[in-house]
Amino acid sequence: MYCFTDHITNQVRIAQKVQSELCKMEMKEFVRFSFSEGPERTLDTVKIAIPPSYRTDGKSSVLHFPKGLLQPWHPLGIHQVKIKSHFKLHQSVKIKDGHALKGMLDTPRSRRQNVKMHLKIKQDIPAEGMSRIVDRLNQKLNHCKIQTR
Amino acid sequence: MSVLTLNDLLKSFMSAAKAANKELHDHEMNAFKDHLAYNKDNQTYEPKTLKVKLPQQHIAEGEDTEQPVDIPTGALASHQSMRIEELEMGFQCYYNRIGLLKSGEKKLIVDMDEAKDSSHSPIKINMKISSGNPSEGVARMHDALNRKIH
Repeated sequence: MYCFTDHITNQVRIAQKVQSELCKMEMKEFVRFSFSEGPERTLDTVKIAIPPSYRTDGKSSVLHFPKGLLQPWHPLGIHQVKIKSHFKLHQSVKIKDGHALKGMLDTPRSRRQNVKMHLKIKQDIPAEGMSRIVDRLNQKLNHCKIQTR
Repeated sequence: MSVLTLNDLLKSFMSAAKAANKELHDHEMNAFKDHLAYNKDNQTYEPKTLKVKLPQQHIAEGEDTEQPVDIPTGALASHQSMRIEELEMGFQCYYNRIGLLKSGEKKLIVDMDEAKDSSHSPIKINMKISSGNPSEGVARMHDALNRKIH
């Protein structure tokens, strides 16, 4: 038996853990694909030979094309999570000051479930303060000569 | 056996939803801290960076030069948050009695299971909690605080 608050909080934790893992994975994947390993990562490039017939000066040349630009990049994120659960609420539950204490729920497989719960969690924009800090971090890209789009 | 009032039951559902929502909000900030490193000397958080070599913007003709730059990891990651959009609770309980509390307040005492000798029909309750917008006053105060971050 466990507390109802723990039950719903655990479900929320799972969703947010998956979401942050996805965000981290996408960032790592981007860096891994576009840059070489090592303390100073350099851009991974693909060598493309340009035949003399394609150039006006008639010389041959090799173009180092960044690998990261050769494939589309669509990072994934969780848009919505819907969780349906049924459980048994005990008569012996103790509620104090509006908070359910331990011993409120039976195991999810309890036969006589008397409460149905539908939880919907949705992706949202970050808090304004955080957006502003991220904006400031993004400005650092300008200093690195990575221009705005 | 403890006494279960309908009022307390609904309040406890509400408090559970609030606790879960707070968990989501706290997580947003904690996840962001992954992109910051705490500097004990000056007791501040500093952005973690990734050193990468990028081509220079103005490449001298015939020369392919690269320059190492420190890119904040926070600028590379997505910072989408999550929120509880809706929580719907459906249950039925059974009338037990109207109880008189010490404060003199009357409250409906319910049973979660039907009593054998009960002649009452179940009380069906469907409660939907959804996220809303803050009040105008709170929104304005948030705006004022956000303006402190230039």
